[in-house]
Amino acid sequence: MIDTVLAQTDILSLAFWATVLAAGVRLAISVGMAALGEMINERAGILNLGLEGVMLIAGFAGFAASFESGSPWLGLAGGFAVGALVGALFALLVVVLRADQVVSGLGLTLFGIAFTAFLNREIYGGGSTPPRAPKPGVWEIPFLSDIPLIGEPFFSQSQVAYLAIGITILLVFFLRQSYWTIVLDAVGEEPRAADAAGHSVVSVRFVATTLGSAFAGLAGALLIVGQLGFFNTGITAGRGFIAIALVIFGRWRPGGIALGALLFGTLDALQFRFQTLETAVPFEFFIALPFAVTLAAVAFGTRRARAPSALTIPFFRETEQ
Amino acid sequence: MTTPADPPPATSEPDKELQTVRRILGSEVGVLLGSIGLALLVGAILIAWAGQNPLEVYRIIVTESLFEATGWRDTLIQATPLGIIGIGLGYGFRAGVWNIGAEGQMIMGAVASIAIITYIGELPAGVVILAGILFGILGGAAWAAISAVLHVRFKVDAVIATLLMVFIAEPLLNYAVRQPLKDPATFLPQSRTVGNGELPLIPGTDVHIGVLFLFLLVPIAAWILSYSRFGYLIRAHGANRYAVYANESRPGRLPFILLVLGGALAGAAGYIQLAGVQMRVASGTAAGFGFTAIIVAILGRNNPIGVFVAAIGLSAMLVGAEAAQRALGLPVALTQSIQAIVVVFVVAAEAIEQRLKRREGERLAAAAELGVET
Repeated sequence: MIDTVLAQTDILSLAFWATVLAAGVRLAISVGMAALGEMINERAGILNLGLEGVMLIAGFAGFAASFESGSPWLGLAGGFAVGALVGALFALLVVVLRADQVVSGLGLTLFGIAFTAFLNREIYGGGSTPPRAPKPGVWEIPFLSDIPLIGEPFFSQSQVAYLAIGITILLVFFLRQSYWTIVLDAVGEEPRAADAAGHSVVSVRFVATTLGSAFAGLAGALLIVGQLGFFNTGITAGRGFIAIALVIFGRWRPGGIALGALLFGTLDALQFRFQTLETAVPFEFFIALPFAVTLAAVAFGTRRARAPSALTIPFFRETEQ
Repeated sequence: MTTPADPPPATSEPDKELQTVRRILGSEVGVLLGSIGLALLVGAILIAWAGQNPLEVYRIIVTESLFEATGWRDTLIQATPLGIIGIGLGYGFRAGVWNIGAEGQMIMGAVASIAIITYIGELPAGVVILAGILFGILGGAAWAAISAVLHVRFKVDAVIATLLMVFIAEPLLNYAVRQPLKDPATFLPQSRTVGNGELPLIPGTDVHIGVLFLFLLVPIAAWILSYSRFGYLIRAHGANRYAVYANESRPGRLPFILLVLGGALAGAAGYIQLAGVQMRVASGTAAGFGFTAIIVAILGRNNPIGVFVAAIGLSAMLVGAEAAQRALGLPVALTQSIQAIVVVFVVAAEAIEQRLKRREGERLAAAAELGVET
């Protein structure tokens, strides 16, 4: 994560900010993708607090696929698939069986942390020098990558960045003008009405939870396969929960979430940069900063934001409520 | 008309037995035990995959944690922070207030304790211990109060408000033991030892007296939950918070109190673990107790007595797992995975149970409507 280029420490220069922004985009990708996934299931009324666990399990699976096959793209696909699989199991629990979403999600996160630590130890030794898998290459777009300030962050990135940005743009458009968006929101806001209109609340929630988790799995793989190339215990370091906060910050809209992820990523990048500067402020302060700012942003920036009405409320068709 | 002397119909005898079996299986304890059994089965498969004999591993876990003298001691000592934190979290969970940031609250309790102990360490032991536990409680409560303000005043979801504070507490701890609280006698980032603040042992044993704090807390917390007005409010808030708000001039007060209370107990556990076991504060001082306590509270059904049993059980699992790691090289992470699987199975079993009850209720209601005797 830490940039090897530490020479540009003049915080007023354009080059400094171009480097920070470039790192910010890299750091935003994974957490933003996880938040987009969580947004999908939350809009259907399902809260998945297991996001951190999904990212770890799918990320580890993606790493294993990438390491064994030598192809990072197979790793990303594997992360997406395993994310979907874990999501389907979670949906079985909270959508079909209607188990408590908070407890189930926390259980999934705790399981993901411990289970990937176990697997990593059993398969890859779990040492301090983990094996490395190949990473996707960098794609420099001719001419555009030479633009000052935005050239480096947006047009000279790892190939996974373009994948993530592409998926985000597709989601923005798909959710803006789709019949399925209306069904999704109806199920999350007024499940009884959706049910009366002939839509199966359970099916929509099942698909949304599986798909949301698949994107979270892809997010884990983007981080571990696409950017780091190695796995370590608890390597997601709270990003799953940051993603859940970003959904609130972005008011359950992909555009807002993408913006929030960029802000968080840039802050995180600045934090790495400030750690290396000789300042009077202890570096631990900068490590805590992204979390503090996320909390403050959720507290002050979203006071009028409203969660989907049926979030965390199970739906029973057969009885009057 | 039957006379009292009539023998019961012959068919009712096995029926009754069956009913008893069903009642036990359907009861909370039965569901819990069944889920734990299933999770242990899944765990056995994982252990076998890791190349060990599951029965041998489980035998080591049980004997090393419950049937050896040192095992019992370690189980009790590790259960203490789990139980103390779990009781506080359970109060909150019961009311639907999800404090999952006890790890950070425990850290800040330990940091506040060691700060005051470093400052007044020369005073008599009794004073230092009292100050240590007081500052532990204050440190944890103050840290939780930040989350409580964010939750109650700024409407931040409690899960987010409490959990993100853990990621702020950890760097603060690292800074504290690197700079202001660092022991100048060593090169490592760690605080001084607690010195006079060390908890004495219970006479005749090698268990520190902090364990007694848990044994005192359990009956008091159980009594408060069942019989006091505060306990009633907690239970009512969990069942239907709007019913509570209808009679409250300040609706946020109970969630606020519960978050701060959870933090206070986590902070107390931070001091007890510091002054009874670790003796110094260093990076990673809470050692995951704050997170494991979430499982303890959930498995203990958010009820102090259940939490106590769960704390002993999970502590025994961890102590046994450490023994298994020493003896067979089996990672402790596997035991933690099994604990999480237990949680998932328990919620699943509960949901299925609720569903069956619902079905049964509907069947009875439908039958009553038709005038059919059931």
